Amino acid sequence: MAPLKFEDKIKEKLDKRVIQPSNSSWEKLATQLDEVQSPKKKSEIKKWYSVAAIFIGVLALTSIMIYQNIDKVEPEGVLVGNDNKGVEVKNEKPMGDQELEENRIKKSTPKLQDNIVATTEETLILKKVNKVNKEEIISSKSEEFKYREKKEDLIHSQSTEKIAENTINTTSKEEIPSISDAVIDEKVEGVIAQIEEFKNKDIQVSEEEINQLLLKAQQEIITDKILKSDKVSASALLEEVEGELDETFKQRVFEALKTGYQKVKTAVAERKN
Amino acid sequence: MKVIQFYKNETQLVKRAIKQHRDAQRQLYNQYAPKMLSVCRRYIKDIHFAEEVMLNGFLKVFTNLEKFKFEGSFEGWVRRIMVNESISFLRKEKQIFFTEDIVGYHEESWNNINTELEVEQIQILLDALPEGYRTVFVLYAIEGYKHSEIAEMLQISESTSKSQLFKARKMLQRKLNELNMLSDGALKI
Repeated sequence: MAPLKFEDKIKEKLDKRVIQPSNSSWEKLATQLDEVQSPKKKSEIKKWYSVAAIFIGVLALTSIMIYQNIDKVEPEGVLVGNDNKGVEVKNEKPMGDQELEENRIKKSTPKLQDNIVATTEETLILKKVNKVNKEEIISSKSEEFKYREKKEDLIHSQSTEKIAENTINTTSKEEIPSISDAVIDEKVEGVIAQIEEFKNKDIQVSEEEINQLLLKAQQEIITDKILKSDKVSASALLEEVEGELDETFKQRVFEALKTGYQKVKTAVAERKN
Repeated sequence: MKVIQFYKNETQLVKRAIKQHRDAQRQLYNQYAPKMLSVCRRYIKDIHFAEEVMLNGFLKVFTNLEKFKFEGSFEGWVRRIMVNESISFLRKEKQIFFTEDIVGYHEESWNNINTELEVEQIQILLDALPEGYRTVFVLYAIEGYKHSEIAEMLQISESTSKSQLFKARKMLQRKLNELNMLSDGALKI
């Protein structure tokens, strides 16, 4: 029991004992703790900063996306009100086939364009209300049909007018040859009469004189044509002068001259006999 | 009421120290450092080394504070760390040797021992013991560990622990007897 008592007393006294550490002991420990714990703290702070940065980045991106969407939506309304071209461009994508039909109507008449602009405005504002849009589209379609009928009528009338014009042109073209033929005949007859007159007077006619007469007649025909024709076109004149007219006129004149010359020759020969 | 208040304060301090609040750590250090330096001093003769060991012990305490489960006393948890740290220091410095040359040992009688010793005298007696004797004696007689626990801590057999204790007690008795022979009671070892 003695050792236990002695040991208990030693234990009691040692347990009660305290030894004050040196004054700088805490500073030493604090520096050691800073070396060990500060990297952990820094890494944790970095982690939190990175998390915060990611969060802010995501927020910024979403806000930018939202604002971009708003910016995209807002100008549509503005453009609808202000510019018809903008409306046409913007509405092509969402509207599709309906809009193509509407564009056709726009192209066709300004009145219908206004109606379509109104309908597009309504569709933009009331996108969710499809029934209303459908009704409007149907009404626009009916208007389109009406317009188509009108357009067809217009085209028909235009075509008839064109046909009439064409017929007038053709008739004028037909009249011009007839007139020219008559003039040519008159001229040919005049030239033949002059040649016969020279024959009757026993005046010998040289080929130069005949050619001069023919040129004179040709110039007269051309001037008559120019004066009588409503529209003066260089190509038409050239065609008429250098083409058919010359050939027919020359051929006819020469044929007339030949026949006249043979008649004169036979008559002179019979007289001599 | 005061004990409950202290416990609450200590728990709060420990929780704050876990969050690496320096002020809480300092409060805990100021509270337990003198006791823990005394613990370290039992094993280590040099007070400067003892303080160094104590500081290393507190560094481990504060860096591993999240492992404390608030199940036992915080002081006991810190004390155990200090003991382990002291033993590690001795092992590292190769100051601890254990001999197993005792075959049959029995408890010595502590007759005629003047037990009225000052704590400083006790410490001088303990310092006079070899490292192995002193370590086992302090662990067994002062800290209250069993031989099995001491054997595990010091990585020795239980019989070695017992023999070291026997030798330590024998040497202490001899020293105390020498002390009692002095008429003036002055401790001369």
